[in-house]
Amino acid sequence: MGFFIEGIKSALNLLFSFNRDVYSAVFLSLRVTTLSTLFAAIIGVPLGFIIGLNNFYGKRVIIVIFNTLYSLPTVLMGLFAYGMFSRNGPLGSLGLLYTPQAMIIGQTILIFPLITALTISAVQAIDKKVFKTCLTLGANYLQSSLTAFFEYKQLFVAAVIAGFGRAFGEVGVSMMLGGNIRGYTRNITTSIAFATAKGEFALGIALGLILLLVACLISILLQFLQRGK
Amino acid sequence: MKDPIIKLENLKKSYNHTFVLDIPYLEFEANKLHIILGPNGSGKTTLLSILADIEKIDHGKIYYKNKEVDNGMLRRKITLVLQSPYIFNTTVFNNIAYGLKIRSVAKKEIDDKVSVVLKKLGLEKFTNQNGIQLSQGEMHKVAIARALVIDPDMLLLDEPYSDLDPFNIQLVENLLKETKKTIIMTTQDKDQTHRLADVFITIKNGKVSYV
Repeated sequence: MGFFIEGIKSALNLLFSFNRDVYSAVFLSLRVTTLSTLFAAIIGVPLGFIIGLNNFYGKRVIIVIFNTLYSLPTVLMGLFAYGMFSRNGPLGSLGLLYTPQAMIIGQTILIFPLITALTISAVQAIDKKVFKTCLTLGANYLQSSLTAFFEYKQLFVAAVIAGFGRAFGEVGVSMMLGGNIRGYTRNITTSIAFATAKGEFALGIALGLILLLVACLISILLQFLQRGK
Repeated sequence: MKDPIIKLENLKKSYNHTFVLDIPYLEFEANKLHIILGPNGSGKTTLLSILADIEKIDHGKIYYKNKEVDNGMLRRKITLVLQSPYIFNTTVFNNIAYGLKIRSVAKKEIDDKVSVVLKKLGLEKFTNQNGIQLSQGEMHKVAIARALVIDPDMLLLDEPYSDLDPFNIQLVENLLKETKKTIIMTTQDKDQTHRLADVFITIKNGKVSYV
């Protein structure tokens, strides 16, 4: 127990002394995850909305694929992306491996199935009377869909926040594509893994506390949004 | 019948291989108030949904002013108020203005038209209140106001009085009589039928049994 208490004391010291390694990892995590969530939302929300709204042959298969992809282990996704960006991979010529850009792309690939799958579920929860009402008031298909989207926007925002949460806490993609380079691609989760391996528990706990704080904020935000509808 | 605004021929509609509507011929006269009387599950709502162009037919033809109807053609001409209407999660004003905004009506005109309807239905005090916070009866009035404000050629009302108290029933009835529009309304109330209807139709098990 003393080990944890000592660790937390040292961690608080690192946080309040604005330790460079801690804050560099935090800012990188925030930058990479915000951008990857943004890109994944731009792809996943409209795609999920279109899939959820329309009935077509093979829809169930597509939903099963997205549900499978969103629960895929992050290391597996990291391995796939590593294969793409490594020197001999199809995108190796771009020279993106071990850069924050590669981490952003990797996290985007990781979370876009989650955002898409949650958006599909959200669309299926929309009261069909919304569409009927819009159509009978003279709206066309696109206008009705947009109205339904804004009526249930909390559910779509919740899908995006869930994506952010998954990306923020993942380690596999960041480690394999970022390479954990100090001050460049070392984010919160790879820092924790590295610090623990080196026996620097205080640093690990300090970053763990920030991770916990962000997870808590996400949870509060999700509950707030779900209460809104 | 003189000047049928809408005419149905050999109309059939089924759900899961069970016929819910089977109408060889039916027509509705322009500028008259039609009441469709029938028990629950008789096909009244399905008929209104077909007329409002939000439900497809399996067989038959629909003519609007003697022109065969294509998919989506009636959407801006006919408006349906659902039995339990959906109210948008926004102010009463925005709810009522929805159809006008969709039609790109100028802001000044929207303000004027919405104000008139709000006043007619006694909803002025709720103008800036969120529509979903209203009582069921008030919500129903908002839905009626939302339909009236766009001044449709035909107004369809699916049991519009189910949530209204006697005072508001009277208010809406007077308003409907005033509009001089083609109105098709469903009800289960025979007294109301006698009080209001220019034309009344009974429907049972999907078949029009008396006009």
